[in-house]
Amino acid sequence: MKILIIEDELQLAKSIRQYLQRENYLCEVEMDITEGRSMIEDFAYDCILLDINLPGGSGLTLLKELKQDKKTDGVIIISARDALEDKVLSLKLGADDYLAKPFHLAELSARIETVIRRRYLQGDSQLSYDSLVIDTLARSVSVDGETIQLTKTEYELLLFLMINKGRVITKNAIAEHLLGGSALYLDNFDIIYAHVKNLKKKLQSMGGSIKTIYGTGYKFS
Amino acid sequence: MKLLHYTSLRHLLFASLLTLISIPVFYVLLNNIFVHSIDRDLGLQAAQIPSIVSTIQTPADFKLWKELDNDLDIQPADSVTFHDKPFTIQKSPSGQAAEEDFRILQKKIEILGRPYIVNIESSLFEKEDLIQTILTIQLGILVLLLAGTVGINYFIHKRIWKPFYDSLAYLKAFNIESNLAAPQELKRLPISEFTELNQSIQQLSIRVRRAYDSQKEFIENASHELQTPLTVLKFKLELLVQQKDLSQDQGELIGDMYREIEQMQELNRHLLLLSKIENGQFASQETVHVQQVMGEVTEDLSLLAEAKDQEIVKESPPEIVQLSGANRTLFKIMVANLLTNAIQYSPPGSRITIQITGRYLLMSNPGEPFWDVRDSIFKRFVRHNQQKGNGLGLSIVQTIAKYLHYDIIYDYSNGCHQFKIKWPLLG
Repeated sequence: MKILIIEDELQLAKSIRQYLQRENYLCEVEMDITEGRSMIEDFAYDCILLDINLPGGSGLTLLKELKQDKKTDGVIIISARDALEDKVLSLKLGADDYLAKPFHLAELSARIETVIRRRYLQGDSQLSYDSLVIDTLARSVSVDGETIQLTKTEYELLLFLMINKGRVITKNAIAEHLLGGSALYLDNFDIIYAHVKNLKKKLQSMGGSIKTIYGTGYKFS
Repeated sequence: MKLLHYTSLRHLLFASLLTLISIPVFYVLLNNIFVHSIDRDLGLQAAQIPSIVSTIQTPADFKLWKELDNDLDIQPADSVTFHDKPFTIQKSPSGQAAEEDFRILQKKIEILGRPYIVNIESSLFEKEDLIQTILTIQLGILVLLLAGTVGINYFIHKRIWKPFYDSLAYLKAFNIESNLAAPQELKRLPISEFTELNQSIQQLSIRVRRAYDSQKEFIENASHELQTPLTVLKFKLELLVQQKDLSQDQGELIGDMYREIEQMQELNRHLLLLSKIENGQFASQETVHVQQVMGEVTEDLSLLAEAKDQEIVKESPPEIVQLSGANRTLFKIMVANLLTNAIQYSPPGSRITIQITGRYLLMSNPGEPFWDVRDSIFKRFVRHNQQKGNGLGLSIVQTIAKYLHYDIIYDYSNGCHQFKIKWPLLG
C-alpha cells in the first residue's frame, strides 16, 4: 500500500511514517504544496494524508485539483485547526475522512485502513484473523462460523484492535476511540478493562488473541 | 447621593443659614438706627426747651405750658431719678390698655428758681411697625434669592455636568469585547476639564482594547504553537510503546506521560475555543433541535457515565424544541460540558436528570455542595476538590450561553447541583 504524507512538520510526518511502515505500507513524505502536487500528478497512492496549513497554500487546494483530475486516491485531511467548517468543507470537497490534531497514531491507522478498504476492496467488507471474522457492513462478528453477539462498545473495541493488529494500543488510545474527548475525564481505565474482559470471554477460543501488555494497553496478535 | 443633589443641598444649607443669621442681625441693626434717630429728635426737642423756659415768667405761664405740651412731663427734680442718656420704658398711654414702648430723654431745667426735670417722650409704636414691614420685605427678598440661587444652580449644573454624565454612561456601558464609541465632542460646552476627561477616556479605552486584543492573540498563537510539539511528543510516545522489550514499569511511566500530554492538549483546545468564541468566529444562524443534540451528547458520554455506573434520565416534551439563531456546534459543546461536569461531580451510582422544556434545559445531579467555589463556579481555572479537567469547562458553558444570549443559572438544592440554561421565548 502506498501512502503519501503531505505535512510540513517533519517530526509529525516522520512519526506517522514510522508507525505506518510496520504494516507493509510504503510511505512518502512531502513537506510543501508544490512537491506534494508533483508527486500526486506522477504517482497513484492508496491514501494521501493531507495537512491543511502548508507552506505555499492550503491543502484543500490540492484536494480540489485532485478531484478535478478525477483521481481516485483516498484522502484523509489532517488539520491543526479543530474547526467544524474545515471538516464540513473537506468532506464536501471529496475527502474521505477528516482528523483534527491531536490524534492517536492508532486512530489514524484505523482511519487509513477504513478508507483503503472502502475504496479498493469494495464488496469485501470482511476483516478476518484466523477463525475470527468481522463483517463491517453487517457489523457482525463470528468465530469458526458461529455468530457472536457483541455490544456496540465491544464491537468497536474489537474492530479497533484488529485494524491495529500487531501493534500495542495504549489504553488512552482505546479510551479516546470509544469515548472521544470525554476520555480525559475518566477517573481510571477500569471500564476499558471491563469491556476487554467481557470481549475476551465472548470470543472464546479467539479471546487469547487480545493480549494484555501490562502497564500500557492491549495488542491483537 | 448624586453630585447635583449634593451641591444643591450644600447651597440650600448655606442660604438658609445666611437667612437665619441675617434676620436677628437686621433686626438689631434697624432697631439701633431707629432708636438713634428718635434720640436725635428728642435731643432737638430738648434743645428748644431753654428758649421756652426763658419765656416763662409766672406760675400761670408754667401751668399753661404743662397743659399745652402733651409730649412733656415736668416733675420737680427731687421726685424723680435723673438719667443722663435717653432710655426706653413701657407704659400705657392715656386712654389705652395695652402697654407700649416709649423713648424718654430727661433734661434738667430751672423754672422760677426751682429745679425741675423735663421728660421728653416719643412713642416707639411706629418703629415696631416699620421694622416688621422692613423685615418682611427683607425675608421675602432672601427667600426669592435663595430659591433663585438654588434653581439657577440646579439648571447650570445639569448643563455643565452633562459631558461628565455622558462620559460616565460611556464608562458604565464599556465592554471590552464590543466596539462602543466614546462620547462625541459635538454640542459640548467649551470646558477644558471635560474635554480632557473625555480624551483621556478615549485614549484609555483604545489602550485597554489594544492590550486585550494582543493578549487574546497571544493566547491563540501560543495555544496553536503548542499543539504541534505536543502532538509530536504524543506520537513519539506511541512509537515508544511499540518497543518489544518494554517493562511494565516503563509502560506505566509512558502511560502517565501520555495522559499529562493529553491534559495539556485539552487545555490548549479549550483556550483556543474560548478565544474563538470571544473573537466572534462562530455564526449563530442555525436552528438547533434541542432533543436531538441532547441525544447525541448523551450517546457520546454514555460510556463515561457507565464508567461511574451512573444513570442519565431525560425528560422532554413530546413536541420538538427548536432554537433558531443558534450555533449547533457551540450548543453541543455547551451541553456536553454541562453533562461531563455533572458526571464528574456526582458520586458513582447516582442519577443525573436532564429536563428539557420549551423555555429551558435543566441539568441536575446529586453531589456535595461547592461551598468553596460557589460564587466563582463559572470562573476560569476554578476547580473543586482537585477534580480532573482544567477548570475551563463551565467557563466555556457560560461564554457560549452569553454568546447565544441565553441565561445560565446555578443553584444547589435538595443535595443536587442544578444548572439551568434559559433561552428567550420561542416564537
